Amino acid sequence: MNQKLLHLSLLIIMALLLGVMTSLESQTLSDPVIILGKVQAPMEAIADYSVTVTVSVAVPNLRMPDKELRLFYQQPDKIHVETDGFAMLPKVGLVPSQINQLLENVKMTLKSTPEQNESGAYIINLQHLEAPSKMTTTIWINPKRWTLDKVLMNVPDIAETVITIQYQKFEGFWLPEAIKVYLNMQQSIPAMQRPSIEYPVGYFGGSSGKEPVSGIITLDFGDYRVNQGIDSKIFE
Amino acid sequence: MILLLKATYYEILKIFNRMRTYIGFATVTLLVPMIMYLAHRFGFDVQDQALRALGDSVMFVGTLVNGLLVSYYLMNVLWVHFPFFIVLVGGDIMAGEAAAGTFRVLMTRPITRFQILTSKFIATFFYTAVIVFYLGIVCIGSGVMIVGGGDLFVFDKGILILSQNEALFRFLIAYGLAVVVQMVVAALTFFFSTIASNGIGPIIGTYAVLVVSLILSVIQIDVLDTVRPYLFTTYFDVFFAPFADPIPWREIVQKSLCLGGYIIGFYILSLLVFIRKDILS
Repeated sequence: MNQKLLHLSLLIIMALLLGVMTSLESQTLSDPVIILGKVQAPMEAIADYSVTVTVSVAVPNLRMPDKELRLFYQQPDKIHVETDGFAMLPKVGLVPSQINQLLENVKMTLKSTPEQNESGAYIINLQHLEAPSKMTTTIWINPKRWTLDKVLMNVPDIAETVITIQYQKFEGFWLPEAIKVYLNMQQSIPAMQRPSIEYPVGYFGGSSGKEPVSGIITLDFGDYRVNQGIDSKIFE
Repeated sequence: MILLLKATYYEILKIFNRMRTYIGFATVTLLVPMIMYLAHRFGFDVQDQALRALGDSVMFVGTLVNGLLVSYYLMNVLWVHFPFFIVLVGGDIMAGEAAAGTFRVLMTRPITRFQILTSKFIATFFYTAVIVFYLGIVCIGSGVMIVGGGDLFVFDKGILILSQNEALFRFLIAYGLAVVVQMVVAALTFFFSTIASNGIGPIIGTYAVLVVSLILSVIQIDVLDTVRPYLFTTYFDVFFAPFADPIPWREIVQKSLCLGGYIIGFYILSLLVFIRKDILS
């Protein structure tokens, strides 16, 4: 009788523990801070890496050659880019630590869980508290590999930017393979004309620059070298 | 033909034996590196202004302010300022001989008037080409050394960024076309020099024509549209054409042919004047 009671008690305790754990688990996954912590956690093991990035720009009224550059990253947030001349890079998604920048001075709210949306991702809204305009950022977190798959940055009446990130597994880490930055700007780059006899230093002709315009910046990543040690001097 | 080549050689020597020939070279040698240093020291916010529309979405790596960009902007001196160094030498090449009375001595030699004038014309062309390319070499050379190399940022239907190698190729074509442009100025001053008997008149005359033509080309009045095709300054902007993408070869050829027509025209006029000219002193 006592043994039966003991088994029953153990069963009840286990059920209670299971219930508490399940409850805790569901609470964890409804907390954006914990979700973003899961994204950051695997990256803690990356002390440094370098990667070759090829940048292609397709923005109306802006023509530039594809640019190859070498990106160096070192924990916690050091970035160094080596390139000939000039290049444009997205502000978000380039290196793991940039997610920390996204979270500075923001109010986070979980908009949707994987079960609630078709993309199967955690969707988190970030309300920027110190941005001069009412800038909002929405991020999509892939719960299968805990990666930042998509970022939508919206600055009302100025621009909306969508950044999608594809990953490749390299030495056990999910690292960017390709990033596409879709720019939707309320103001375009004016169609300035080359210098002519009438306008010897060039002029703002054709498009006034007031029209909305869309463009894409594509980044392809290759030749990763992870945790091979990078001299800190290059970040100075 | 050999006599013509010999005469041309001696005319080139005469040009480069004059002090005034080196005023242009000295100015370029001093001024261009100084401008490059100022650009390097204080810079200018071209990229901030031009790429402002991209907003907060992207960050810029590197800079667009480099020696090639400053060299590109310095090409604007080719409109009005640089021709001074051309007329300074070209204005004296015929009139100087007339003023010094050396034509009479020269014509006692077995050389025709056609050969005298042609040799001087070729020598003027040689000087023009040398000083224009010297400007290009000093601009790009000192620019890359002082400000640094990199991609070239230009305006062409918006913003066009050319890689350094591509930009250097475009500069080569542009300075070649600048020689053609400056040669029109040289041919005009050569023509005035053939008429005049002192070196000041051709300089003032050429500049007067140049400035008036430029004003007529720039002022946007409809009635002037009929006049503009006949002004040689209308085609002066050809040296900026290589910085378009794709390079507008058709436009370059058309404008170069028009400018070539003026060069030949001024040469023929000079020849007609000189062959018929009474040389009495």
